[in-house]
Amino acid sequence: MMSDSLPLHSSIELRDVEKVYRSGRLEYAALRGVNLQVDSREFVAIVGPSGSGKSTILNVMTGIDRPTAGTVKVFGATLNDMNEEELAVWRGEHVGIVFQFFQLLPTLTALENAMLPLDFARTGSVADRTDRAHHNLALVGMGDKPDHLPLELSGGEQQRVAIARALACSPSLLVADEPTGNLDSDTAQHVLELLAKLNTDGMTVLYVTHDRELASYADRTVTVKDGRVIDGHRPSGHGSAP
Amino acid sequence: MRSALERRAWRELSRRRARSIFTVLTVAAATTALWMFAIPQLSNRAMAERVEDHQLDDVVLSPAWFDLSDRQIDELQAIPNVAGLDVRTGFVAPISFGEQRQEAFFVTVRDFGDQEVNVVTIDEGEAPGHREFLVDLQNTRSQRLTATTGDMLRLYGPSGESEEFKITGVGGSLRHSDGVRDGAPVIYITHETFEDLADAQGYSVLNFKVADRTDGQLAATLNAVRSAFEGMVGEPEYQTIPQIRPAGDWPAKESMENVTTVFYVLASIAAASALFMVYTTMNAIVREQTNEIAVMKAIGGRRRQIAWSYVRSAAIIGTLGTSLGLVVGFLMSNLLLQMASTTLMALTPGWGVSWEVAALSVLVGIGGSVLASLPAVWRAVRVPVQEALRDQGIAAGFGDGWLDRTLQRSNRLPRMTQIGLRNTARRKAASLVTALQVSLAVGIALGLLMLGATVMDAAQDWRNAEGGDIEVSDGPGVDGFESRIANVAGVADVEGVYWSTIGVGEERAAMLGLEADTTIFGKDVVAGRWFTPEEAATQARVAVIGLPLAELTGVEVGAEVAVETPGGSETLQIIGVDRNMSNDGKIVYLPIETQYDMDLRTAPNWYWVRTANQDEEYIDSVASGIANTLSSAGYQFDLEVNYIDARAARAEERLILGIIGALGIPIAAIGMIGLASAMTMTVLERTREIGILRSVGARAKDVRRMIGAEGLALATLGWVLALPVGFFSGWAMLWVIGRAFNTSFGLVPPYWAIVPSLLVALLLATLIVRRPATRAIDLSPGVALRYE
Ligand SMILES: Nc1ncnc2c1ncn2[C@@H]1O[C@H](COP(=O)(O)OP(=O)(O)O)[C@@H](O)[C@H]1O
Ligand SMILES: [Mg+2]
Repeated sequence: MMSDSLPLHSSIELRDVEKVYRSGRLEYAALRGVNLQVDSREFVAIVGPSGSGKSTILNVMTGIDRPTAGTVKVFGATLNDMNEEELAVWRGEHVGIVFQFFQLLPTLTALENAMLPLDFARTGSVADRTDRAHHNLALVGMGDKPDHLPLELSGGEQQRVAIARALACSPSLLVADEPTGNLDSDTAQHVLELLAKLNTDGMTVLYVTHDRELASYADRTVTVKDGRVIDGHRPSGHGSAP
Repeated sequence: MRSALERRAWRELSRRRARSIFTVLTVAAATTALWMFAIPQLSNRAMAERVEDHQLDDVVLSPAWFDLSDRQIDELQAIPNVAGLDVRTGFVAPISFGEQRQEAFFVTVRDFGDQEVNVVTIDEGEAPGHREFLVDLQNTRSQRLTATTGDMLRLYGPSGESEEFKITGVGGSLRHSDGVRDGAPVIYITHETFEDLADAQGYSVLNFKVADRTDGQLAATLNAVRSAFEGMVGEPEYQTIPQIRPAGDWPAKESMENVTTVFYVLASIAAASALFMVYTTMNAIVREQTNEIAVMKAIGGRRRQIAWSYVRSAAIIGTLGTSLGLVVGFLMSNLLLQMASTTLMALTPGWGVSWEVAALSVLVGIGGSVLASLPAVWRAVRVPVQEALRDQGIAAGFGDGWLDRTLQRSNRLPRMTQIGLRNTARRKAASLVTALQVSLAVGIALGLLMLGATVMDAAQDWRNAEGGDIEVSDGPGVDGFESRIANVAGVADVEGVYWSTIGVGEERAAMLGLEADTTIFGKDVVAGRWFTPEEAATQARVAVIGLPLAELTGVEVGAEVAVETPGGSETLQIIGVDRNMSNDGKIVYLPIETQYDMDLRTAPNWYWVRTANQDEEYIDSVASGIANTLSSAGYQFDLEVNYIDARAARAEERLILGIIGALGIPIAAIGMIGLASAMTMTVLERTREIGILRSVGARAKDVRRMIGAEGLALATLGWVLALPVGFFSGWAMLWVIGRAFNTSFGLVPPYWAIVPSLLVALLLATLIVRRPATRAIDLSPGVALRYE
């Protein structure tokens, strides 16, 4: 397997990661020894059957969930060693997350949702934050509806606001778990084009999808099955696994 | 096999453990509150035992004076159906303990070792022998007379001579002990002692009890006893008609029932607020599950099946809560009863269960929980599937209305505070219910404070009203009294007043004639004015009316009121309303000169003395001085030192306040459970949102600020609602208590508590949301995000 020789320059590194869910007497091993490296500025699609562990991998990588065993390093930070509070702060600075169900705060307008991480990070003045949120909304094509509440937006629009929110602090890593799962195919393509553009601008991007066609936007496709990475094929130009 | 739906009902409870526990506690609180209704029944049962133990009489005959030989008494005791019979003497005589002089009520017992009716029990020390005293237990409880076993008491004869007697013990009697609270301490002596001291023979009462009081048996026995008795003593002059104790009646039953009324009022408030909490909690539970309900419907669940599943959850919660409430209620009702009856009736009842209340609490606890869940279930199973399944379908509702728009424009507040406030506005109904919960807890506490403050104030008015430091009353028409008192050393001021009775409409009231410029009477006019010296000089028919009497009769300032006085019918013009509570406020004040004219009198019948110094020992010595002066001048008089009454009144106040406190604390606790439950659920509902916030970088303190803002907003809103709740609950309790004691109160809202109660509400909210907030923060966002 791939575990023996991890390239040292990997920006994201999951080593022998296991995740066991316990609910009552039942135990379920969602991840069974995942090893994965992602370089800085890579654009990676994670594919695999439903229930194979794709979301779990992303969650472990962003510190949203903790592995039962194994180590997770992201841009030099060892997530295993951090507490919830440190993880929250770290995410605010380095990671943008896009959820399948958008997860916008229903009482905040599009602009306020896009500003929220800046508020948490306490960067710049309120005026600066507003400017940046406006900028990010424009970037995702939502510059015209800053004062709408989530309920007043379509699914595609909500997802674009969610991406603007993920971009708020100019994170180095953007992860998106089935960002297009609730969108029609046209809208889905727009979202993927947006992710591709962000990657071109220098961001490391990982996303989960079911759709082979949508996976082809990525430079590399990682296939997950039964809690293991079975194929981490890297197209030429990005180094290679043995 | 259990169906999947059945299992859902059970798992639902363990999945949301915190919420389930709170709901169970809420139901338990409601059931516990119901147990206050058991107290009257338990106390009646305990009293019935006590009536049996003490061989309480069924009939009292009070001939003026009579003598019977022991053989004659035996003959009367042998009359068929007489289960016990005895004769006693009751008389009033002045006593002193140290310098403290007062009137005491004496009861004679022929043989302490062989009492057939109205048994006087010995609770401490031993029965009095010849020329010895036994003091009643209530004397010290009511602070009327603090002398106890081993102390010496001085007894005064009619011409001022006195002698000391030893107290051999403390005891009590169901028939006589209650008299202490009405005025004088009670002392028991042997009949022999009485004959020796009075140098006379004879009895003043004959009491007996019957074996069978059904079907006219009591009347027949009464006739038999009466004719045998009259055959022995000739034609006695009865003081009153024979007093027949109604079946199930006992002395102090009325005071106990009055206190019971207070129990009922507070219990009703507690039960109502607890049931309201059960209703809102059930509502919240079902509301949270709208999504799940939609899923079940989407996969073919029928409304009836789904509804049944939720009703089952409610029934499980109801059963658990009721079981807990039964245990706590049993303990609480018995403890409260013990407290009330030891202080009120010098009686420690055994532990008892009221099966009726137990049945009622099962019905209300389980049935109430199920009923409370029905409206919410009804609504939830009717929500269209499509709407409920949309992620934010049920969470919708922010953005419309002036409040939401105002909050959206509130850009100056910190972001997290904004989110907290907007969340409060988003779920308007839920927030309102939480705020109502807060308002019940805070409002009832305020209401209880108002109740306490008003009762205290009424007692204060009672104490201020009458009599200065020493009161002296005389037989009618004696002159030179006032000037003699005024000349006694230590007397600063003496005022003659005239007391008689008056009929106003249906009410019997007191009529007090005062000098227009009285200084000893503490006027407290709340409407209109006091009478003038000119009105007094012309004997004008003007009067100031006591506030409770004014409220009971509907009389207002300016009214012309027809009254019945001892001198005949009169018309009085009401010129003012006074808040003092003398005669429980059922009183009319008027110029003493007017009263002379109406009642055909020329002199006061009551003198109020103010001493130069308020020290109790000083007052006692002035009182002795007055007593000596008057008796050596040959006057007949009664003398009372007011601080003893005042002390007894304070003891009674403390008792009432103690009862209010003892009842108030469980009620406030029930309110607090509701408050804590509602607040905790508010935070738990935010769990998923907190997960999102943590995913995008929110720190713990950001989350706390959001939760804190919501908690404070709810607490403030609840507090605003609590002000009217507090006023009206206080007013309602006082109205009912006023009805029970046949009086009415001048309300004293606790204005001083308004600001502190806000601070307390804010502090409580902050403390309560802390734990669930910390839990939500410590949850890894992955778990929080899966929380619905
Ligand atoms: N909180 C949880 N408790 C128990 N099992 C879980 C939990 N979350 C995920 N799983 C299980 O872990 C496996 C992987 O889940 P996930 O990573 O969400 O899969 P997917 O590849 O569809 O994103 C699934 O079989 C799922 O049942
Ligand atoms: Mg998934």
